Amino acid sequence: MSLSVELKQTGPIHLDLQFECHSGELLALVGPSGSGKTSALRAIAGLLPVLSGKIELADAQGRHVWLDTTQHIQLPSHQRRVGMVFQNYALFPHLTALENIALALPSGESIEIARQLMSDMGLIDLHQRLPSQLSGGQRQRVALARAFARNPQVLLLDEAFSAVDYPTRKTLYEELIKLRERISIPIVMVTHDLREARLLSDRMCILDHGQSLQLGTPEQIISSPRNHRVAQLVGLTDIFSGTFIQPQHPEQIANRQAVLLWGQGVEAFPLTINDKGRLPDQTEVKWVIAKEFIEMSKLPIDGINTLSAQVTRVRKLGEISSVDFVVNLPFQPLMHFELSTRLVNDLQLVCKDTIYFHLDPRGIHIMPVYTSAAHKHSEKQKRDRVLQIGAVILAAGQGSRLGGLPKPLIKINGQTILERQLQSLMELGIQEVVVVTGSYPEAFKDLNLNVTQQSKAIFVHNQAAQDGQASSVRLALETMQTQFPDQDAVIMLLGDLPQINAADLRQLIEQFKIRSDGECVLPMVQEQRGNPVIISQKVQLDVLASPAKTVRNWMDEHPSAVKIWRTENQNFIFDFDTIENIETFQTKTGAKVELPTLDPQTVFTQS
Amino acid sequence: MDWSALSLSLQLACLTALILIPLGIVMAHFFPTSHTNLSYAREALVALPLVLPPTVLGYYLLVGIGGHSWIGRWFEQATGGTLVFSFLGILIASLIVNIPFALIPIQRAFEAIPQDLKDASSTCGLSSWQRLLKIEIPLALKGILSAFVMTFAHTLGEFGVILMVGGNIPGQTRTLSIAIYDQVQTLEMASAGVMSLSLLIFSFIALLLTQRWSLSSKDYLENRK
Repeated sequence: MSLSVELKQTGPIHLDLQFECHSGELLALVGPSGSGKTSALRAIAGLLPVLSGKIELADAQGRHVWLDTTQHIQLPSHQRRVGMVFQNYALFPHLTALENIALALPSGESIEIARQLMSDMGLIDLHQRLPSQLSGGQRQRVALARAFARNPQVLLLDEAFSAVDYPTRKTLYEELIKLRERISIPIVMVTHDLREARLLSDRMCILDHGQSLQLGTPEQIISSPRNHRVAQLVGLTDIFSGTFIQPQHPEQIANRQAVLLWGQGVEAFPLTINDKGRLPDQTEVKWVIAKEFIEMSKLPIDGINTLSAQVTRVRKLGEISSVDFVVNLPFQPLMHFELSTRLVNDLQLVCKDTIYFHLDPRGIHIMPVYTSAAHKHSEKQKRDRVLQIGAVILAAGQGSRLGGLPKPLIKINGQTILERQLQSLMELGIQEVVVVTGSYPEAFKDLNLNVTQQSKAIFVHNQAAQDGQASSVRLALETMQTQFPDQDAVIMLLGDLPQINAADLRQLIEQFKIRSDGECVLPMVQEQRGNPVIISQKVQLDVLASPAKTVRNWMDEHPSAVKIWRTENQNFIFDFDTIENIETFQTKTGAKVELPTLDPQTVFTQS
Repeated sequence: MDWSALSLSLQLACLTALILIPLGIVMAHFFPTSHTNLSYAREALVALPLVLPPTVLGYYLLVGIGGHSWIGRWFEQATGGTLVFSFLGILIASLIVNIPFALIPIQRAFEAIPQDLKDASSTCGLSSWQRLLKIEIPLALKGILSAFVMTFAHTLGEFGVILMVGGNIPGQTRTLSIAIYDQVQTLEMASAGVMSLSLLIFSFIALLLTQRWSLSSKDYLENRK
């Protein structure tokens, strides 16, 4: 016998769930009040009219359709062979215990069956008692016996044990377990008590707002909740926030590892996790760790995912001790563990101790933040925004650490960095480009700018380049403003970033779009500020409005408008600032790097 | 003492209660109060006779079942008699006037039955009629009895509408209350006094008995928790 349920309706009660329950299986519908679990049960029993759905019972005789809205089949409740046990017993108060049970017997059945059911339930000598003369446990036994009197094909339990005290509940649990050995039918149980569900059910279905979020064995759901909401609903207490970063290094990809940034912004701590390849980069996630994957020591531990923490509270509760920590990270996350008291004694844990621990990547479970369809839609709208984006390339530097040469003209495999950057911008359709030169004006004069023919790139020369980058930035933004006004955002490229490609820039633009409340997005790679940054028109106008202001100090003055984009992408920090960098680049990529040769005549006079 | 008036009053009260109570039960079972405009309208309509003056009701009844209405004409053609100024006429009037007294207590008693008991009867395999007979009527018995008492007592005392629709025809429409009025009109105060006293005593005993009966019947729902 097997019960299959599919309910889908938007009102009056929102339901969107689908499950099967096989013979002898106990499926628990778990969720907070208002999650639709009781409605689902009532729909199965035929007590709740359903607008759209299908409920079928398959047994040896064939398929019994109880509900099929497409065929307008909606069997009334009394024609569905269900046994249902209600939260408040729902015994008929004017009938004796025996009469209550006998009422549910199929017509023609002898009252002896009711007597037998009563004695099976241990209800001896209570036949003539009215429900009001019975204890809570006895009432619920009568209710169970009544549910079975009908010889049901499905047993439905609606918070059946919540009205009785704990000892009674425990005996009722045993009663139910015994019953299941004798009677093999699908059992669907509704409960808000997770412990009860874990104890009694073979599988659980987690419900929220009428929607089934996850279906699986209790162990599966508790060790790997599908999302943050499920984790909350199954009562996991230590749920942390983070950002998922897709594997970027070849060795990460090979090891199927990814990075979880614990916390937000510059203070986030990178944790190595196992990558299941299911989440997109930069996904906002919640994460939990199974306790058995935490290694703890009073001595420092080496390796990845190791942290230290301060013990703030130790409570010994018999065999289990509850220990609270504050992790030594700038944002001071709190962790709470249930440890065995033996371990606590072995470690001699007391308040204010420093403890070191290692989080095994295998035990870290990440879940995308559960978001509504409306939220997803607005995110998509943000991503799909069409922005007018321009770019400035700052090529005015002296390249003093390389002994003085125009770094944008360093050739990689025969193509200058400047050409490569312009080409990347072209690939993204960014035509409004301002290139600022300063030092070495002659070197840029004879540049082969074939790649720029389609673009509207403007070259401007900064006479005061040696005064510092700020003047070049100002000139670039001024030119941008006069030549290409009304850019929604401007990418500020340094001329010595050899590896930035169109894909990187596209990602940067996307991050800017997603963070719609930010005026500026700054890539951050391992505690290092990356380049380029992208700034909004507001920043551009603010900076141009006062002569003393630079983009850098605008960012310092408006920290909340500067959005940090955590990435592992090294392209955002790798520059050709030093000879060592160039050598590393050559050995790593095998590319041929040519430094520009300068005619001494053209060298801009250095002060 | 006008014995025929007394017997007419008793007949009228019994018939009214016996017709209205089953109707009330069926209404309460098949058309439970819901939060729809139609349901509100029905509630208002049911309670209307409580607030309308008997003369207004009497007027509409005369218009509705009188000799110029199609019902009145049809009845005349079929039986040769008129509906107004007949026992059947005052029965119809009495039924309409007593609708709130019969229906409202029953409706409330049915509403008081917890939803889970109704659900449980369905999942025990009871059909709608079986639920009515085996569960709802026993549990709503108190409300049904009190509806009976109210209807019965109110019919005994009804005066205005009966007078308007039925007039004062001995053995036909002359109920006890009208007989008393008649006696007072003709200043036969002693006879009016006897009848008033007997109506008083009778009503009191009837109320006493049915009240006791309804109060002593067990209120299962109250003891349920």
